[in-house]
Amino acid sequence: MLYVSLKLITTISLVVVASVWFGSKLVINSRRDLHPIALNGQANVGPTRKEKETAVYRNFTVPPGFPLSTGLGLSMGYKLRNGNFGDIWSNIMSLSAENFVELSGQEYSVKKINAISKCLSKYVVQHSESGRLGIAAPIFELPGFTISIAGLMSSLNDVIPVFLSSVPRSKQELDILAIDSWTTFHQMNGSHKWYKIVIVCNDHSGQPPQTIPPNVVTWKDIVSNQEEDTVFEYEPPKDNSDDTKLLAIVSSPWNLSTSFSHMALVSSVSAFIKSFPMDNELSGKDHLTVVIEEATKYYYPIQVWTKILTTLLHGGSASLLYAEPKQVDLQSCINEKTSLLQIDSSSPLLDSILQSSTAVLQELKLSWALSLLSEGIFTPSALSCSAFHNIRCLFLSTTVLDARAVTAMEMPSRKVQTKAKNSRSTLTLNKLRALIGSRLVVELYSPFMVMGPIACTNFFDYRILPDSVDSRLSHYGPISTSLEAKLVEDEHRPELQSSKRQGMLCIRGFTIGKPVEPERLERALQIVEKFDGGEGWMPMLGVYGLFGKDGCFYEFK
Amino acid sequence: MSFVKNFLFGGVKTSEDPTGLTGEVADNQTAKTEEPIVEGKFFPRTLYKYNGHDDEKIFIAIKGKVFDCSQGRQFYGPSGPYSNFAGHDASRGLATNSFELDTLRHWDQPMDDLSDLTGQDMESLNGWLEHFQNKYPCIGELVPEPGVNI
Repeated sequence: MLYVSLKLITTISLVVVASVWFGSKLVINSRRDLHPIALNGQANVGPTRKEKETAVYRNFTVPPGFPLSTGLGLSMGYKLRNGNFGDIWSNIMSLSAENFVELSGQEYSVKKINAISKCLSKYVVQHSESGRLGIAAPIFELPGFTISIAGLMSSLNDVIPVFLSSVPRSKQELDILAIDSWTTFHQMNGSHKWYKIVIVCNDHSGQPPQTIPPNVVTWKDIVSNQEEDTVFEYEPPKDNSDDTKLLAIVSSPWNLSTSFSHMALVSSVSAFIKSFPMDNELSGKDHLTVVIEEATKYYYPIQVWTKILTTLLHGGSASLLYAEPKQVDLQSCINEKTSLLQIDSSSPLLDSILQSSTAVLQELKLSWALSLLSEGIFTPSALSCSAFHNIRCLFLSTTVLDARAVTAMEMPSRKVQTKAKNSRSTLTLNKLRALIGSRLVVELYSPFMVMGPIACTNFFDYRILPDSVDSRLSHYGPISTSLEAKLVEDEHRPELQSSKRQGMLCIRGFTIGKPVEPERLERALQIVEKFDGGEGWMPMLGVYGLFGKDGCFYEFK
Repeated sequence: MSFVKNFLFGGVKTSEDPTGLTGEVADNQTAKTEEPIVEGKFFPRTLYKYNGHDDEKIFIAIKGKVFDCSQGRQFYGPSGPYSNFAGHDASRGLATNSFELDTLRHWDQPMDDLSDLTGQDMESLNGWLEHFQNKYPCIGELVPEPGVNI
């Protein structure tokens, strides 16, 4: 009897093992999202390189000789043009039947936002003399959001919105300043006199002064009783001059300003659209949620537009969510319709998902999901919370090691250079994929110099890199389709060799901003000249990394 | 069997190192991939290899400048109308509008100094040079190899 049982158990075990082995050989190869050969060739590499430089790397979808993603490719007679914000917003309005933008937990139809923004834009254009609108109001609230859209609309009429990280402490070239509350107004301590008009966005926050100065108005006073409006008429001029106009200026926390043109916006939008693989494209069903936190609120006022406008352009909806530091979990605050989620890579909200205690069955599911993901097979079977079941892609934004050095065009000090970057390991990223049940894309930003990501990982790249690589490098995937890049040898890191595809990052493309301050612009031109000037390469000072044999960019931690 | 083991006992497959930092080779196929050529000085001997046949890339020299004409494979590649020029100094051929082999120098012969070309030929050659400069990336210069060409 014992012999029969042993025989049976052995037979069953052998059959199970043989079946799984057969499955692993046959099924895995046919179920992979992307073949390892494709993962090992994610970039087009130039055939030649200069001495002390690597070859030029481009995204696999833009081969050498083909133009980078420069815009929307709109027809203008027999020519193609790149487009601008006016084209994007007029097309958004033509698809604005049901989509909305959620701000501070409340949904506002795009038609309503259009009506308010048009009203504000008209007001701004009428009252601005020098053509500068300062925005120091949070964009995740309706007033700040609509003033920002109004500013972008006004940029077509030569009024430039300036996204400020805080209320200016010295007099600046601004006609109109939008601030968040009466509390901020009191803190301005009389500096409201510097401006022609000060717009107080939230008139319920703080006590208004006993006598409101004549140049101070509330947002509500300007936009009162605006109904929905489905129309935003935009007719491009025949000389196509709007495409090259300034879109906005962003001021960094270090008081350095960078300007971006409409070309940067449309290039970035175009690159984002192209980043989605076939059968996973953006659609009207998508709902984008952008989580803004204390650590990231400074750069989102300029970086948020690419994804929001692109989603609205496809008829989808969007949420801008400000997560207070006391917020403990993500599932309780995001809209359950969310299909695309953008969040900072180091967000504690992600830690709460990773650290949540789970039952034995869930642990088992997670283990299986991780095994499958590491083989290149996506599975949402270990989804940890039903609030995430609609999410199909999680965008983890990270910034370069020293964003200040890149923005200031100054080599970082030794102290900063030795500061290690705390990025998540590829195993942790797969855990997030499994627990959220979605694909995950890691994006590398230089938030005050480049609109949109510099590089982002492939939608289907679930590789787990060896610990020796993960501990020294952060994986950011191939360069964005709107940029091309190379690495150059630099005296500050002589150990990095271009022959081993290592060095300091230099980029070229239309999403790069331009320093506003004359002395910084002068310094930038000198530095550009030093690193192969004349060919339009911008060195990202202090950004050291290497290009893998897979064509991906890896930044040293 | 690694997947079976990982699936049953919990574990993940770690990919090979694509960065080369650990000294491991990422993949047999990529390991064989040729590294980009360093732009700079070419000798007729080193240029010859890039004729679209011995090497996929096509380099052509004109008036001492080397251009990467790989994009114009239909013209300069094997079976193309100007395939003779690939991997050579094509100055004399372009100047005299001749595609014959006798307009080209072998890699072990002294370099052509073009001193016997007429003014009209030189004008024509300059026109070609401008055309190549606008169309193809210049990747270096052609210089005589000591002991071989001088």
